[in-house]
Amino acid sequence: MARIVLEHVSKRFGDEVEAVRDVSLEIADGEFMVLVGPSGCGKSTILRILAGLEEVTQGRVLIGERDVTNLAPKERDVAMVFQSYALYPHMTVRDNLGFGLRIRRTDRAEIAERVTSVARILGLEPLLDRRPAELSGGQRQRVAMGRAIVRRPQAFLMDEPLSNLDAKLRVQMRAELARLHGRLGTTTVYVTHDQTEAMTLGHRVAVLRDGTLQQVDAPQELYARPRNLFVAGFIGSPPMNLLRGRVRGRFLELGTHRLPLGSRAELPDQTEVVVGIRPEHLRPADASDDHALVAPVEVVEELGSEVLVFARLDVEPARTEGGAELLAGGGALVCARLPAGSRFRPGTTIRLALDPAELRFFDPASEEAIPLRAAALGR
Amino acid sequence: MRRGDPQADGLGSPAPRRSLRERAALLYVAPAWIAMLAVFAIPLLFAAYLSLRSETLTSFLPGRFVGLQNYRGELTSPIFLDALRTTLILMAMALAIQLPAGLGLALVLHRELRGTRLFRSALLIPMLLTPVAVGLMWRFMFDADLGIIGWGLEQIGLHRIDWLGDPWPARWAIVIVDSWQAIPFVMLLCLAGLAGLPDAPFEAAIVDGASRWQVFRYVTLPMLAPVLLVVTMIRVIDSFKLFDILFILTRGGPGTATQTLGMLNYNVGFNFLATSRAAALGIVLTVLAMPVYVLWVRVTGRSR
Repeated sequence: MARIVLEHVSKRFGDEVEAVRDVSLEIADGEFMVLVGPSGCGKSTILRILAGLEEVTQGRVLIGERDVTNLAPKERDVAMVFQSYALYPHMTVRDNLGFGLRIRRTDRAEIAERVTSVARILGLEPLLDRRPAELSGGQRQRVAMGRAIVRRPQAFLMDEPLSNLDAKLRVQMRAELARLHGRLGTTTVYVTHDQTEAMTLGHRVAVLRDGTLQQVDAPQELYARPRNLFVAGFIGSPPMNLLRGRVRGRFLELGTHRLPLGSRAELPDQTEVVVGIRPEHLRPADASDDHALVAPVEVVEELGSEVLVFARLDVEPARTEGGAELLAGGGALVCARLPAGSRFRPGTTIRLALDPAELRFFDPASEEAIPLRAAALGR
Repeated sequence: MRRGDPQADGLGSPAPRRSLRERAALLYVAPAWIAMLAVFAIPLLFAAYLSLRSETLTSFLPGRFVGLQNYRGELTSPIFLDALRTTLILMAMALAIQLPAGLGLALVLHRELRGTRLFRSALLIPMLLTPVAVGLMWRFMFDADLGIIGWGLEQIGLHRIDWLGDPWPARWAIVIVDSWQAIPFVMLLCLAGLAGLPDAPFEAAIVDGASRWQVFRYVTLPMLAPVLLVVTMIRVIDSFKLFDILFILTRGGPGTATQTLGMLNYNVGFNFLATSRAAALGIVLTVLAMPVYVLWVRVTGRSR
């Protein structure tokens, strides 16, 4: 097991593409670190740099206190799980599992013992003499995991290992992965574009965009206190509602709507802000709510355990890359996550209320979060 | 008939329409079938018929039915066995050179280094030339007195070799010329095979700790095996058919040193004018190549 450190790592492909820009990241021994971000954000490149499959253009890579920047993959003692599983199609499951050990001239008896033990952990025993073509997607995925585990490397590098599985199996394997990590405790770097995986698996999550680190934090922290608009829009499903507004004294003006800022009235008058509201922090207003966002309901999604209500608010939406883009049409489509049984129909009008303490503020120019004293105190 | 059974319900009307479609399909493929019959099946059957008779072009009298006598005669003749041996020797020599060389070049060109594209195009030129022209070109180069190869050997302090006049040099000459044309073909198929392989298993092997040689030995080679098998079979079949280069370079000589089955077949048919014996030899040649064809069909069928 080992600590992994990236020091000011950059990676350039040719003259034009800079896939990774000055990334510094420290992954503790035994930590499960998830790299998450949209396609092309550089997360897979970082993983390949760690594996030694790509050379860095600048910076240093340390694995277990050893500078491995210029070392070949085989000298780094890491194991990688590929998105496509990368099983050797001509070998049986047994040979696939034992290949890395055989290459390292491990004693035959020991190979057999370790392969059997890993096969037992992963439930692969009945499949040991099959070839990859005779396995289901989930089974192949487990073989790929097993191939990494059997080597007992210093670190696991996983490149979207669950993305080729169907939704149900993915949930199951996700739990299995968490269980495995709990059992083995090996430092793991896990790349995904699926934020549910990121939030459920990671001890910490690193959010990347265009090759730069946006925020590295525990999942709850990332969710509660996104450092910028990109993270705010990227983490959370459905994403945070991001609306442009202006501070008017002790009120927040959103289009024609005015909401009291209450304890959050710290910003100077006339400050332009982007305000972030998580869908679960919007609730139907009742008689006691003097101020509410009134909007026509456009779409209602009944999810069984909850209801997502999308309402068109005549407010300018904040444009972000992270997925907060709103459908065509004027105004912003605001999502409210309401308890199951909430009855709203498209075409009717909804009044939405919120607790000002749950508001997050961002600077529209820099897109950075505006720290407030109240925000620092908690949600 | 159960109600609601789509097949049973469908029996009423679509069936005749389907047979009409089938008939139309037969009509469309008929020209191809007729052409195949005309140029393939009929000559083969006619050759089989001839092989059971005693036809020659040296006599005006019609031949007679002699049963399997031609086959017995050919299969037991030392000349036939010698030609079979020569065919197999040349085939082995050719494969031993062409497969490693073609695969090696493919591995080098697959790495997309600077200039590989130009090199790859240049390498394909020999494949595009007519074998007869290639044979003539090399015959001049192999010429014992005037050939550039002999001159080259002299320049580096070696003796000239009578390439086409001595048995083993003649065999080597044929293998060299055949390889010069076939290596690009082997390379092209291997290159296509390599391009079709996914990158991930190679990267997995590298991360697993495999050296370059180990990646080649344990990943590349086994994953490329189906392609190599197909290439080998094509080259084996080509070796059975090898004729034009031989005809231009040695005509089977010196003596019978390079007389392959194909060359022998030609000599029997067109030099000795023994039509029926030549037909019998032709049938034997076809039968000998048959196992390779069967294997070929199986392999390509499986990969599909």
